[in-house]
Amino acid sequence: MSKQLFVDPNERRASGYIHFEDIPVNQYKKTVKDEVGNFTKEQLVNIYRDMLTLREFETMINLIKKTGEYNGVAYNHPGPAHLSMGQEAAAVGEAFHLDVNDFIFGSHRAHSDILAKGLSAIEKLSDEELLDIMKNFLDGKTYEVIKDEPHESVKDIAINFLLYGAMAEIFARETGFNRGLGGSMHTFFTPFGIYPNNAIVGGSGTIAMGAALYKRVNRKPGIVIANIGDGSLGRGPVLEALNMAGMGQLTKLWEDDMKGGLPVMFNIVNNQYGMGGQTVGETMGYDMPARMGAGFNPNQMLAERVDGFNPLAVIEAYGRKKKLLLEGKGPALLDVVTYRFAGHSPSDSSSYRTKEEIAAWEAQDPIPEYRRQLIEAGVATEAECDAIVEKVNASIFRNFKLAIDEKISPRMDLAANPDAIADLMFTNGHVESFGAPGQKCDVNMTIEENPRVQAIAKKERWGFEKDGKLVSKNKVYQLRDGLFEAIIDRFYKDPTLVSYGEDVRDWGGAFAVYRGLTEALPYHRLFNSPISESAIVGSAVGYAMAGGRALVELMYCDFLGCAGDEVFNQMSKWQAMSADIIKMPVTLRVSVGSKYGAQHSQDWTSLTAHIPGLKIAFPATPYDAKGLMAASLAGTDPVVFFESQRIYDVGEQFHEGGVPADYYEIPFGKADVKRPGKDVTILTFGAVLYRALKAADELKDKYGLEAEVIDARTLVPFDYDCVIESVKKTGRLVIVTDACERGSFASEVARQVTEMAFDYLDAPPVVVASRNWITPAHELEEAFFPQPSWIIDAINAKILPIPGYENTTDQSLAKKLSNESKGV
Amino acid sequence: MAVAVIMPRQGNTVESCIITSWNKKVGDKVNVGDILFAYETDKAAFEEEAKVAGTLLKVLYEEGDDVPCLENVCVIGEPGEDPDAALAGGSAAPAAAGAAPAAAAAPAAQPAGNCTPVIMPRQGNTVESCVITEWHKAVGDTVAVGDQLFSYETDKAAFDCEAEVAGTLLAIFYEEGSDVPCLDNVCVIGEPGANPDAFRPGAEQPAPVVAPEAPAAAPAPAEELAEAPVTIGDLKISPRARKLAEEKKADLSKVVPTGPDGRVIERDVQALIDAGKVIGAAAATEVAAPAAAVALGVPCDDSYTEPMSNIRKVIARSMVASLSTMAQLTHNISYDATEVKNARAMFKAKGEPFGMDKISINDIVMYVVARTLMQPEHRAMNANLIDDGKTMKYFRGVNLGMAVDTDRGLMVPTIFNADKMSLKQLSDTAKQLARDCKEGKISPDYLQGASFTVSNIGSLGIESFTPVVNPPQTGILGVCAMKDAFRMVNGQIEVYPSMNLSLSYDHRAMDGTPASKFLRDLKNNLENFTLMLAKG
Ligand SMILES: Cc1ncc(C[n+]2csc(CCOP(=O)(O)OP(=O)(O)O)c2C)c(N)n1
Ligand SMILES: [Mg+2]
Repeated sequence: MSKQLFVDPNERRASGYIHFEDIPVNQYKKTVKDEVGNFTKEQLVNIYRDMLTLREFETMINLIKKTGEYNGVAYNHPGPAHLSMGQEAAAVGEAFHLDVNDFIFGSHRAHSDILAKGLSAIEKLSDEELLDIMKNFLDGKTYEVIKDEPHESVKDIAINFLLYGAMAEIFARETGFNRGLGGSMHTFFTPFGIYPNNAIVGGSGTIAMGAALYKRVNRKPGIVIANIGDGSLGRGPVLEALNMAGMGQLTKLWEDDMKGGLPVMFNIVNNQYGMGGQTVGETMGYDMPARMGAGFNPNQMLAERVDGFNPLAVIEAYGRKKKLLLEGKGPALLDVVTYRFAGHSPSDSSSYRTKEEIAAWEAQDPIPEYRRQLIEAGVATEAECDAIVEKVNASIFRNFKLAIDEKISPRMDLAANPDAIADLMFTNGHVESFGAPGQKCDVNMTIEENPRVQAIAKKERWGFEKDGKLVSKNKVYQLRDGLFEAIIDRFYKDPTLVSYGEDVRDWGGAFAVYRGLTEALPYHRLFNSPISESAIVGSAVGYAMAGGRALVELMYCDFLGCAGDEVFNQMSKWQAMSADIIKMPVTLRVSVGSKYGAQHSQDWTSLTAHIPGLKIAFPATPYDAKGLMAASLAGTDPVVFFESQRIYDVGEQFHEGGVPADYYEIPFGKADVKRPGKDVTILTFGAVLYRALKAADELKDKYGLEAEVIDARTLVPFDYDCVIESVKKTGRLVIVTDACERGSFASEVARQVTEMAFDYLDAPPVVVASRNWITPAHELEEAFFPQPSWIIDAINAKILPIPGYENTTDQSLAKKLSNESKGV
Repeated sequence: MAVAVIMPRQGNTVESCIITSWNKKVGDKVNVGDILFAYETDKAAFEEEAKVAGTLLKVLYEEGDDVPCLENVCVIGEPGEDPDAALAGGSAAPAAAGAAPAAAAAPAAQPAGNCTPVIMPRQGNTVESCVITEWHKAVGDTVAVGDQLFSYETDKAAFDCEAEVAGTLLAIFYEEGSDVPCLDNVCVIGEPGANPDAFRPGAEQPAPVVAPEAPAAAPAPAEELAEAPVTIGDLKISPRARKLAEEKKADLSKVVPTGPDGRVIERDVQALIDAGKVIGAAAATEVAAPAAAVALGVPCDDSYTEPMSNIRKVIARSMVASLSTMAQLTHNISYDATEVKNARAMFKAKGEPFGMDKISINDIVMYVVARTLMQPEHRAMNANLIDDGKTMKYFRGVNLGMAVDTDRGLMVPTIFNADKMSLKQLSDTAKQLARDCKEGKISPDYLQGASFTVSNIGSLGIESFTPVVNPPQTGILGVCAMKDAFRMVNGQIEVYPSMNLSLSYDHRAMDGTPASKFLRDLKNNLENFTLMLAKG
């Protein structure tokens, strides 16, 4: 929404037609002979060399997968191998114009892409730069292995480095590009501009778009390419990325040098198939993927089909497209026609296609064809070509032998160092700013001038009046103010910080946390995203991979599923999968609803806590909200930050003296005793704290029991020490959560505490959670969400019978068993 | 009153049993203990004994019948009584047995009136049974709370059992001299005329009859439960409550559970402790055996016999075993006790503010013994020879046995991990153990497990003796009296305090030289006690 743009009914209701430009299809027809003057001999020959390198690399893997040996040397590679024989011209053509500032993100079938990009980068880097990169990477471990291999130049060393680093990674060796933690589908090497490849089909769509956003916002040179398949265009997140990369505000609302569609190329590696599904004629309706571009924005994403069997055609297209993207005319979509000769993977018997079809494409194999053209154009002789073949094959074979040598290329020793992977799950950094030296924070005013900041200054930072009454909502400093303070603070410290999500600008976020930020920040740091949960989270992941810090949000927790892959596979995994080469400073705010029925009231904290690699916060007070948000935004790890809509307006009732105006952080993994007691421990997650306190009041006033109320504050890491200390004292534990009971994190804590503090327990830890139902209407919610009385019922029925207390709910085993047998 | 006999349930997985033979037929007279019928499961064969006397009035199943467990099998009663009266009240007729709910049968012998069984308490974790040494009440006697019912002993200590309920002693299940498994019912107290048979050990416990519609958790009022002793094996108890009970030795047989579903929770154990219901408490008041006076100088063939007390029998057994199975011999040495004596004097004079004024010479000797035993070359002395003399078990710490003389005889409590204790800790522990032994409160858990023993009879003036090794230990040190000794120093006679040490050891476990070296090192260490203390 934006008041600048007048929505004119006359214009919107006017009649007319949408006109499409013609989409070029394979218009480039030249051969080497035609281009001789436009390239050096070396460039033309290297195109051949590079295609050969890609082919032999894949042939090697294909042979060890299928025959168990390569050139007579046996090796067993049990991991994945999605090979790309046939796609070399497309990869080499794409890489030709790219330099290290241009980033590629790819798919499961990325060996050719990374090698081509690496070879191109090596051509463009100076010897000093290459040596510097190689020697500094992983403390020089990879470089050590290959530095004395036969070479005539530093570039030769670098090629060995590239081949060896990729092979060692594919074979899960510690000397590989990601210490063997990425593997075949995730091999990458950022110093050459080779960014993560994704085993989730289309996963790179949103991520590459986010990296392009980073380049734009931080004024970084270069473009970003998403190498994704023709099949991936069926995936929702890819469509979300195509749209968001060219959303109207980029040209209509963003200012000055920020204007223009994002510099991202969706490079559709159109090999005609998904796994077995034929995209044209069977699974997709586009007929030609290039058609897709026409639907997304008026410049039709500069869409075009190019002949990916002719490296020169792809080079030519990239020459034009790169220029347009750098001019802010993006995004672009290229439909690169190619064909994979081998199966989807070595186990694929190609039952979905005929031998004749494969033979027909092999007859036009780009590598012999290009060699023919080289010789025909007089650029190289047969003998020169043979020499290149020999050199390439020898180099692959040598590096292969190094990469499978257990001594030279050991695997991570998890027996000697069992925590090697555990220690990579989080980077636990503290970074004030990811900005380049001298990079300024783009803001519209000073913090002091901000109207929200001025309004907050008049608020009461401690939640109680002198007489003990709660300060009125209008006067009190609320939880949403705590969030705001931490967020605006970081916006003025880290120029790379951006924030976006649905309705965050102008509106101020659906729950008014961001009121005042619109005034403070230009569009490119705070903007309304399309209603594209996958793209919101996926692009934040790409933004962080490229080097920035992102704060994005999902308006309701219930929409988490829409961003499932991006949260569960992308945000969470890339630090460890990259051996921490990549940092993931992404904070994902997730608002937990109530009152809005079955699809707007769910607490799904447990889902995120289940996923390794995410830190999870769920504060319940203004003091905690500010401190935890500050810690999230200064950290280097991905955080899912849950907020409850029930309590955005609460004042601070626990931290004596109220919420400090100064900056402070609350560390993750420290629970907080909100009320000390000796008889029973009540552990809460999020807003349910306040209902637990009510129960504690009643326990004390009516039954003389002193409950110790602990607020978990963070689920991951979780402060077991605090809970166990309390249980040692009380012997009794009730865990309360608004999440549905089955599989909840509360149940997880119950199990863990049972193991950890068994001898101290006077009863099993009891979970008081929401029903395993749909959330009913607000008027019926009391039957669904935990109530104070449920907590006392649980204590009376399962922990410590309370004389004179009558349960308000059916706590019998029979009832429980009957519910369970019904699956509720 | 006619009583039905049910098919017992032999283990949780058994659904039914086959009657293999009838030993009685309808009309036969039946005495308590008579075998009624034999039956078997697919795994084992059993016999069912009558628990009440009378006439066999009715037989519901014939030989070869497969009878669902808990189903009625026959009825015993007075001749002429209606046997079906015993079957009424829920138990299904056998014709409908297939469909009958398994648990609906009436129990064989319902306790009539209000009876409370008295169990043989478990005195420590390692004790399986106790011997009743004396009955103080006879069947029919009235019993007041606190009256002594019977005395009993384990192989290590003696105890008394006091009544916790008032009433009449209705039945005694074990006579004097019986070895009673712990937790078994020993006798029953109740209203005169009530039938105590249901509590006879081995009798089927009356199954609680639960109405199927009854609310699941309707806890009975605490008062009603208060007197019912609990069988610990069946106890539902929270880990925390169990831990507290173990720490404070609460007598769980007297616990009243108030937790959910009858679980014993912390507050229930705390209530026991607060009420002083802890194991060993009852034995505090022990009657000293009267000394028999025999007139001197009068020829006397007037004699009487007395069974050896259990504890003496045990001592006798182990002493004979020691001397007959081991190759035992004793070495003697004396040491200059100047330092030890000075230290003792110093503790006495200045130790009070530190609670160290009661540290004795024997404590000091034990302290030094524990440390000397830990010298690796003396490991054979800190060991057990087990397995018929085939295996040496070496200890990585010193569990130091300490001979204590009590009214009931010699007791040897153990100071566990004595080598890790400070002198004060060791002294405090030794005093506590000795006190517990003398008062009869010692838990049998502390009367075992030693790796070496120290026996001190020096206070009686003994200058040298032959201590007897406690099998399976390999050595025992006798500590003798301190006396003045003389020596020549530079031609002058000098007086110094000297103390004899007598070490008996098992020649099977080690030879004379290592044993002598141990004594020599012990002597050196004692003579340099201050250094030993500093070393810690
Ligand atoms: C989200 C997701 N769905 C399904 C798969 C299984 N899968 C792996 S590769 C593949 C085919 C992808 O086709 P395309 O995008 O054209 O890439 P290509 O394999 O042809 O290179 C499929 C379905 C996956 N990895 N991720
Ligand atoms: Mg494809």
